[in-house]
Amino acid sequence: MIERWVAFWDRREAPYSLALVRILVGATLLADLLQAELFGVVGLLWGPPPEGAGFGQRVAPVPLAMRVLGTSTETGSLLWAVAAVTCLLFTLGVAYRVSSLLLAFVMVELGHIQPVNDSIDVLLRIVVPVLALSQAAGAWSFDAWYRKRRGRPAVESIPAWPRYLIVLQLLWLYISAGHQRDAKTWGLRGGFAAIGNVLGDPHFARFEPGSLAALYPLMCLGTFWTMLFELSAPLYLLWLWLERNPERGGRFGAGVRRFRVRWWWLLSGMSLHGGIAAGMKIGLFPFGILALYPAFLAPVETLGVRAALARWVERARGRS
Amino acid sequence: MRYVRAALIALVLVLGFVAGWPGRIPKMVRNWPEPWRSLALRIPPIQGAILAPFAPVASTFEVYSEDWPLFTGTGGTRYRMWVEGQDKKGRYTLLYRADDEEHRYRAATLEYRRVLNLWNPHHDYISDGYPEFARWLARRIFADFRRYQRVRVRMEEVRILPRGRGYAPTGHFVHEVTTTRAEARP
Repeated sequence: MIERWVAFWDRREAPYSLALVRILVGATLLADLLQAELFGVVGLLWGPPPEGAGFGQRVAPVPLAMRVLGTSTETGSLLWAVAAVTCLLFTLGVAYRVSSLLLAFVMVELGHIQPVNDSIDVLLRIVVPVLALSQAAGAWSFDAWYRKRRGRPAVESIPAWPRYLIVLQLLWLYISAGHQRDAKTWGLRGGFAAIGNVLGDPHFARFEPGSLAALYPLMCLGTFWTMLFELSAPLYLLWLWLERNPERGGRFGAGVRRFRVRWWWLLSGMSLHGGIAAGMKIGLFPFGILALYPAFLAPVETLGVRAALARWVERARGRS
Repeated sequence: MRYVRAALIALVLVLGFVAGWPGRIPKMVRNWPEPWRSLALRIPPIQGAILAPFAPVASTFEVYSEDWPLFTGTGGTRYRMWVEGQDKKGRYTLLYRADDEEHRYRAATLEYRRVLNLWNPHHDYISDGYPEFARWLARRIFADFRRYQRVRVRMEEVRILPRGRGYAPTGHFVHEVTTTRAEARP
């Protein structure tokens, strides 16, 4: 048993899936950080009162940057700048080990200082250190290019455990969220009204609240589907296991494989987050989650998806 | 090394599972029959005891929980932010209001998610940084409009209507912060 556990976490695989997670996470986080500067709110978010709303809201533990550099707007701005630069290096895979660890550190510091952290901030503070410990720059990165240029062999395989941990983290997020939903709006008792309600919230609705009332049955269906998707998250591991073991599961397993249940579950998740991004103004959350989705794919599947997309683009170009 | 890594991962998974026990347990089990309700209510203290030795590490990484209560409740009473400037004659002018295409002062900035988190009330809770946010916004408004002497930021309570029909304003305001030009100076 112990030997199997150790062997499982010792597995290796090609670096493509984690490389894609690295690129997408880095790009979405960088876009989010750059917006802070674009909107002129770096001082508000990471500066101390009276200029800003940062620091001072939670004093323990005192952030390292605060202890070394002092509590000032300049400290907040400096941390933001370091985060933006390291995030760019992280995305491009430049000096990956150093840049990723530095990014993880700066994100924690920024998290300590900013007055409110939402769930995507917390999730990325968990995922970025995991990525920092991985070899996600083994492909599609400056480091990989430089390695090749110097005549050194390409990275053929990297430890798979960081990808497995990210998958488990995402599944747990869905399980936790699904089980805590209030039945009064997310369940049958409330007529699956939750999404209709959210689309009527003036702080979040992207479209004029009430303008989509004709589509209310679809909103109820969306609520039901969201609950089904989240509560079925543990089953993802079963669908994956049946897919990886074609000889197992009998007729049930054959059905799961034939109807590509795992892929439909993943598509449901993508459409759920796509729907959130389209219908609500909540910023990074859906994009940050979708950035982690390549972790669900084995490297060979990532390459397959990439090839399929390339073929699709080629055909679209041909048509135009 | 392989064994150490596998053991550490096992520890992380167990701690993550314990840290993921819902913080809303008391609310979730309110209507459960006994003895299940009492049993469930014993979980939070046990959770705290298990996690306590690892709390310094968790707080260093600014990760306090594996509990993800996302959009747990919707509907009911929600809010709509109003931002107004008052001139020397005491007249208020609406500058920004959530879900109002006519009044969009610095809307992109205000609706940027990190800023929105500062002013969007979550049920009865509003961020500790809300007064500083209101002051920061007042400074911007005073810099942009010389005619205003006072800035008022407040939340109108709205009631979400059933069947996706939007919301109804109540005319009742909460979380009002008023900042004068003198108070806004750093």
